[in-house]
Amino acid sequence: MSKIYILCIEDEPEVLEAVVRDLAPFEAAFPIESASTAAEARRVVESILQQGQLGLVLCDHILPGEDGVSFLVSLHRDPRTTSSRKVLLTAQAGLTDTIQAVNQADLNHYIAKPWKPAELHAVVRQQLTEFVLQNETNLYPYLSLLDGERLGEKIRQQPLPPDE
Amino acid sequence: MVTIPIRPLEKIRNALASMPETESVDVPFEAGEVLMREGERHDHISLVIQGEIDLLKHNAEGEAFAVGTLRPGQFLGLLLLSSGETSFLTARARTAGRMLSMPRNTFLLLLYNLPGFNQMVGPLLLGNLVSRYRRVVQLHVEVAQLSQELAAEKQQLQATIQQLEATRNRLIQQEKMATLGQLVAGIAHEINNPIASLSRAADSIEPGLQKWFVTPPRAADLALLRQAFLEGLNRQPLQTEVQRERLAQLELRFPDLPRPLLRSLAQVEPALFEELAYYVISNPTVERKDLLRRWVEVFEVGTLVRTIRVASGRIGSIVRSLKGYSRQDKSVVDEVDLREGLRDTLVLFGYALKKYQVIIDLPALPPVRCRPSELNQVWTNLIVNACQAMGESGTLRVTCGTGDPGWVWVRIQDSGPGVPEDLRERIFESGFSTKGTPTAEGAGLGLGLAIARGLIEQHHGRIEVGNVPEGGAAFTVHLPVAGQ
Repeated sequence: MSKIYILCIEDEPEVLEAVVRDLAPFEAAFPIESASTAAEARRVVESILQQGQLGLVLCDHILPGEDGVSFLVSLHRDPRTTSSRKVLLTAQAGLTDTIQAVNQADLNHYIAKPWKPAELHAVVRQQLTEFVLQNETNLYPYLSLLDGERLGEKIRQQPLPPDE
Repeated sequence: MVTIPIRPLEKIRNALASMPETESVDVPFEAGEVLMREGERHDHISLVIQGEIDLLKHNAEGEAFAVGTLRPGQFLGLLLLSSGETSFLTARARTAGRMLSMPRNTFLLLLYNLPGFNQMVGPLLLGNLVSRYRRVVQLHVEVAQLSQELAAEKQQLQATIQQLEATRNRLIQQEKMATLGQLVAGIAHEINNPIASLSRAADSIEPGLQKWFVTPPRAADLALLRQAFLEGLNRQPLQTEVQRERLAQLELRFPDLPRPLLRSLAQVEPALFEELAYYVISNPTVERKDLLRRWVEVFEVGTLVRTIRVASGRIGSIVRSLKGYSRQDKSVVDEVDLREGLRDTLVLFGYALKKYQVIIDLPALPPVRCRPSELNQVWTNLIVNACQAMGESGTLRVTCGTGDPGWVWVRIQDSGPGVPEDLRERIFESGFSTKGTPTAEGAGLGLGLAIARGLIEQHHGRIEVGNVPEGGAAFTVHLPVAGQ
C-alpha cells in the first residue's frame, strides 16, 4: 500500500500552520506536506509521487507569483494527479473568481477563510473518502478516520477473498 | 398696391443709348467679375440689362455676407446716387451679362432737368427702391426669427450640457464605486487571512491551557516549561522548504513518533532540540517522555500567542492604511508626504499585487499641498491600470523623486505591452478603454485614467505616459511642491 499524502499550499506562515494543525488528526493515515508557493508545491508533488500518491491538495487562492487556481488546473491536467482531490482555500470576498476556479480546475470544493474546523474536517474527510474509494482496494485502514459508512458499504460489495 | 408702369427694359435701354447726352455706354461683364468695391469711390450708375450681380457686405473681420442680388432692371450704384460717398457694398457678377453705365453726375443732371429721362428712369428707380425696402423688411423678419431660433437652441444646448454633466458625474461615481468594490474585496482578503490565523489560534490555545488546570505540571518542571513558552513566543516561522527537510530528518530518526509532534519539534531551534532529545533519550522514563510532550504543548501555546500578536498587528496596520487612504475630511488641503498615501494604497492592494514582483523605491520628498484622499484615488487608478496591463504576471515599479526645481514626481511603471504612441493622448479620455466590456469585478469603464488626470490637474500638476526600454508603460505624475 502506497502512502496517500495531503498537500497544503499557503503563503502566510501563520495561516499555513493553522491549516496543518487543524488537519493533524488525519495525519495518522495521511502524511501532510506543505509549501508556500506554486513552484515549491510542484517540487513537493514530484517528491510525493516518488513515494506514494497525492490524495488531496488544499491550496490558497492568491499566492505570490502563480495563483492557486492556475496551479490546481495544471495538477488536473497532469494524468498522475488528475484524480487527486482539489480544494481551494480562499479569502477572496468576490464569488466570481471562485466560481471560475471551480469550473476551470474541476475543483472539488472551496473553503472560505476564516474557516470553521468542523467544516474543514468534514470537507477533507469527504474528499479523502472519495479518493480512497476511487483509488484503493484495501479500505480497512481508513475506516475510522474517513466516512466509515460509505467505506463499509463498498467493502460489503467487494468479493470475499478466496477461501484458503 | 400702386403699380408703376414700366416700359420693357430693352426699350428703355435703346432709348437711353440713343440719347448722346446720357453719355451711356454698354458694359459687358463676366461671371465673378467685381464691378464695384466696398470702400472705393464709384462714379457710375448702371442699369442691369442682362445677368445677375451679387451684392456683398464685409464685416469687421473681413468676412463677406450676401445682402442681395441685382437683376435686370435694377441699378448698380443706387445708394451712391445722392451722397457720392465711397461704395457701401461690393458687387460681383454672379453670371455673365451686361449693363448700361452712365456717369453719376450726368445721371443726376438729366434726372432733374430732362423730363423724358425722368419719365423713363423714375418708375425704374422707384421700383428699385421699393424692392430694396421690401428686402430690408424681409431681412428684419428673418433676423427676428433667427434670434428666436437661436434662443431656443441655446436653451436646448444648456439642457443637453446639464444632462451630459449629470451623466458624467454618474459615470465617475460608478467608476469610483467599481474601484471601491475592488478595494473592499482586497481589504476583505487582507483581513480574512489574519482573522483566520487569529480565530484558529484562539481555538487551538484552549486545549493546552485546559490541560494545565486538569494536570498541573510539577513545580520542578516549571522553569523548563516557561522556556518552552518563551521559545514558542519568540520563534520565527520556518520557511516551508527548511521545515520539510527538518521534518523528514526527524521522521528518519524517530519513526515511532507521530508526525504532528515531529512537525512541532522541527520548529524548535536545533541546538535546543538536541538538548531536549538527549534529556529524554539518555533516560527514557515515562515522566521524561511526558515532559517532552508537555514541553511541545507549551511551546505550541507560545507560537499561538505569537500568531495572535502578528495577526492582530496585521489587522491594525490594514486599518491604519485604510484610515490614511480615505482621510475622512476630503475637502481639506494638507501638506503631506506623498509616500504615505502611496504606501497605504499599496498595502490595501496587497492581495491584487501578490502575483507581481513589486519594486518600491521611495526616497524622501518635500511635502506637497494636496487633498490626500484624491491623490490616493490617483495612485489607485494608476495601480489598477498597471495590473490590468500586466495580466497574470509582471513587475510593478513605484518610484518617486524631485526633478525640476519646485516639483516632485511619482512614477508607476508596469511591464505590460506599453501604450502605442498614437493612443498616448486618447487613453486619458473618458470612455476610452482597451479592456473591452466592463466586468463585474469593476473597472473597464474607461474612466480611471480620465479621473486621475482630472484630479492631478486640480492639483496643478500634470501626468505623462511613455514606454520604457525594458518594455511596459510608465505613468509619471508631476506635482508642485508646497509653498511654491
